[in-house]
Amino acid sequence: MPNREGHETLLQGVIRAFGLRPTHIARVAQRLAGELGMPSISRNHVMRLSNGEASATAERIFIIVAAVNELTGQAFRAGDLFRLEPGARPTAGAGGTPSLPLSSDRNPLSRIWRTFVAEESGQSAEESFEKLYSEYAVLLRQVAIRRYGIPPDDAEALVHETFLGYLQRHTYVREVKGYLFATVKHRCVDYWRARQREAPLLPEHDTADERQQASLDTLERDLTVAAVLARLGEKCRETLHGFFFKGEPQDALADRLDTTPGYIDQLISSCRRRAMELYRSLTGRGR
Amino acid sequence: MHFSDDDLSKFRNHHAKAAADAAIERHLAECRDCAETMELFREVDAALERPQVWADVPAFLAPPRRLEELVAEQAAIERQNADALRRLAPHLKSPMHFEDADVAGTARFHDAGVVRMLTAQAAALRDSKPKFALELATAACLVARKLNSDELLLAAATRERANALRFLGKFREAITALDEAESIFRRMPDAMFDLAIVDYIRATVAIQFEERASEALELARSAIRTFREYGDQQRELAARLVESEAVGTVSGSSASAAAYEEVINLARGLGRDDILAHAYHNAATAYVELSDLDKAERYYAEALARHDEQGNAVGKANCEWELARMLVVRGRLQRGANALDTARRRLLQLGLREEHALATLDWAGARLALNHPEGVAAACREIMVHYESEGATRNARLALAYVHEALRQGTATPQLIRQVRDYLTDLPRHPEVTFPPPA
Repeated sequence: MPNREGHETLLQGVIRAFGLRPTHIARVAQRLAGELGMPSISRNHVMRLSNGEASATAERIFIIVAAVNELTGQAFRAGDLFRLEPGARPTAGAGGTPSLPLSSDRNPLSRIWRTFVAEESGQSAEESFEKLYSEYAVLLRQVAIRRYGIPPDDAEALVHETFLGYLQRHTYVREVKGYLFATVKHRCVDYWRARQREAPLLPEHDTADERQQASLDTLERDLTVAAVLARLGEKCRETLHGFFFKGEPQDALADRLDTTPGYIDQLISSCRRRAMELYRSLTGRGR
Repeated sequence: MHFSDDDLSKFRNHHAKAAADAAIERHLAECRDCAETMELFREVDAALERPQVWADVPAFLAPPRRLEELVAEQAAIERQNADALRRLAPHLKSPMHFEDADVAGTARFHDAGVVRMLTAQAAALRDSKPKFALELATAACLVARKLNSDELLLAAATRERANALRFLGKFREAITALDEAESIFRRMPDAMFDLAIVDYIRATVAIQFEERASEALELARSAIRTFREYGDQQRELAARLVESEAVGTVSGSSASAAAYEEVINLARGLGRDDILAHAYHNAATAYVELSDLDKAERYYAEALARHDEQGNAVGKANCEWELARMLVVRGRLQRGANALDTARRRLLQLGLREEHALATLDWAGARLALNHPEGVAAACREIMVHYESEGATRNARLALAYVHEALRQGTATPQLIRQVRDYLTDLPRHPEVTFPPPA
């Protein structure tokens, strides 16, 4: 139901899309709060939050997000369910983002250095870099191993060096993903160039073969989808595995997961949508 | 209006069951954006059916190794940067504050964080305060040399110094700095991206200063390829600006205008206002050469608004100068003279002495054409020319001496002023050519 301003809140949207009930969210949230030693939350408060009539503390947002994730099998973040105020961003510590006034000019100077924090992410520099590494390190390693035939241990070192190189250049590298992928590719080519006698035929040596190129593109795409699946919640993975890979009909999936076919239909759509969001974010393609 | 991912995902579910939603299907036939999203859905769905994809998932579920090591390195760099910024902040208020601090000569400023922050600050101020940017980049180079440990820091600082020099029209020094930066980058791993930035700056110098259009075209295209490979759209578009300029020298203004129009479309589509400002600016110049003054004026106005918005004082001052010149070309001498007077003062404030000299001559020509020579002699005496080669400086002063003498004798004409102006415009490219005495 839309709130008093006539708009659906983010939380309302998720509740509607997944057919959730505030009572269930409150019940799971209360259990989690108890387990974590955090303040509990009533059903009424959940309803008022979902209608946009009340605000929540960071701790309550945390347990509601955790509860919704448990109930849906998704991996929602706080920003997916609540409109977070900019002030909610963690304050900068020694490793955070300094925002020192640099000039007494009327026009403030531009930010003179780029931290690893995306402005809108609401994460600390450390969290942001960890996220970047978690998203790409394994993917890049797999690309090095599978596409370029680099031995696993060397691929590990190669990706590590690539990230180190990025850290040293972070003040002027603007497109991190593109930088990481292109650098790994060149490092792989250099790797084999330095070992000419044992070098396999790399994709770059035979670009005229369109079929081979297409199969390499598919390889990278598949690795990216595997990375996406790893980031989804367990429930989504299980649903997508059953529906797409095992070809289970929705009725059978509903029986196995002890729920209704309508809910499964919704779950497939939502999990696929979430997979798409992650796929887009990793590939930089689409909207 | 586009359909949401949720709508399209549901449509995929139902479509698989041959229960197509006609409205979505119709929309997909017309909307490229949604059709592309649907294509991504197909890609993902197809991958989900492949066994290897599921077999690869466990590798991605394992926690990434060596993360702690990198996070520690990242935190150390962040700490260095933040600490350097705290120490530098009071001295970055103005060039005078900075000079007083003697950063290069003071041991407490000698660390990697300071070099990174000075280099980044120089890059940020290049457009708006080029002289200060040069001082910062020069200090960064001096500190980096003292550290003697991190070649990347020195190479990046030297490259930024070259960039600041380019903005100030000191092209020969810029080339020397670029040579130095390039030789360091070539000794390092992962240098391709860094070298592409060097190529891009070289291309701008080649086209702005040396009129080596073919070389500029080659360098710009090489940089474009690398920036594209590294996913850096902003730099790719910037290199395309240089390419468009070089195309103009090789194939004429018409080809150049067409190339700029393409960059304008791309930059607009990607929401790159910074690039858009330069593309409009340069396209306007091409339209002036094609005598399409209406279009040129419109484009200069577009460029000026964007330069202003982005705090690009150099771009804005140059646009104001061009617009003022166009008033004169259109015969609106009084307004043109007033606007040129404002523009030339602004150029001098920014330290753009060569531009100030040319704009002052433009203004002098307009005043003489209006038969109002008052103040012209004094203003022309204030012109300070200093070119990189002694010969060019001597030749420029000789040319200006003709102006001073003619003004003193009351025989100066707009034609003489234009002749000297054209000569000075070409002087950086042909420093050995002396000014031909007026007939």
